Amino acid sequence: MNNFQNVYNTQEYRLSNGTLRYYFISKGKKDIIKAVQYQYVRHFDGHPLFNLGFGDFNPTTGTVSDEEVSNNDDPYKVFHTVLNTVPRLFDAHGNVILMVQGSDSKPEFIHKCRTSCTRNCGEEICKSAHRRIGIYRRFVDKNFDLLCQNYIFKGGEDIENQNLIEPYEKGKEYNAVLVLKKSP
Amino acid sequence: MNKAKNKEALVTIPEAGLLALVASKLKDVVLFPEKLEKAKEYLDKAKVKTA
Repeated sequence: MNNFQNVYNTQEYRLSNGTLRYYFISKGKKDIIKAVQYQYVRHFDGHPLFNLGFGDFNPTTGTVSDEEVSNNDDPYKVFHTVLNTVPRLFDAHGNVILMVQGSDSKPEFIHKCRTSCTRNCGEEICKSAHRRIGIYRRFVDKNFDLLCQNYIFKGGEDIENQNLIEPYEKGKEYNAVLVLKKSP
Repeated sequence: MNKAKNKEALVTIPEAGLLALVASKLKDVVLFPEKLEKAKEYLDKAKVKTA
């Protein structure tokens, strides 16, 4: 996951609580400072579990938001830059689980989107939801065999108000992707 | 009479310096607090499927 060449330079910061942060500048139509964060959530299934956070730094407010859609003409370079930081989590913390969820999968996102819907979604679905986790899923689906040489993937799906975590199957619409590094 | 003059000076900061500045500003700030809570809620309702 760290073999991408066309990526932005990142700066790494390790906080005292084990959180890892990476900053880089997306240079598209404009310069946007991006933040990637791996934060410990809790132990799960016998491993420390870290959550991936990713968003834009707003210099006016001094905050980082994961709800921005920057359309900065460099989506692949940004995505690959984020992916390049994944192995560093395992290098830093060893036998952990990385969990990836999309910020547009939250009920709040769907509710907010409905209030200004321009895609004629109706009441049943929101076409703008789940796009972010979909980007990660498609990457895993496309590179599954190669990635499985070094990583174990699991997928989470909502079944009867429970999040069922199972071995990853290509093509399934998981709402979370969990990644572990295989032991050498 | 002294007339106050507003002068705006533009300075160029190298990329590394800018990122270090942002990192320093955010050092004690909790990023994505909502995401952390959502992750905890998700895991509280998670069940590992056994083969």
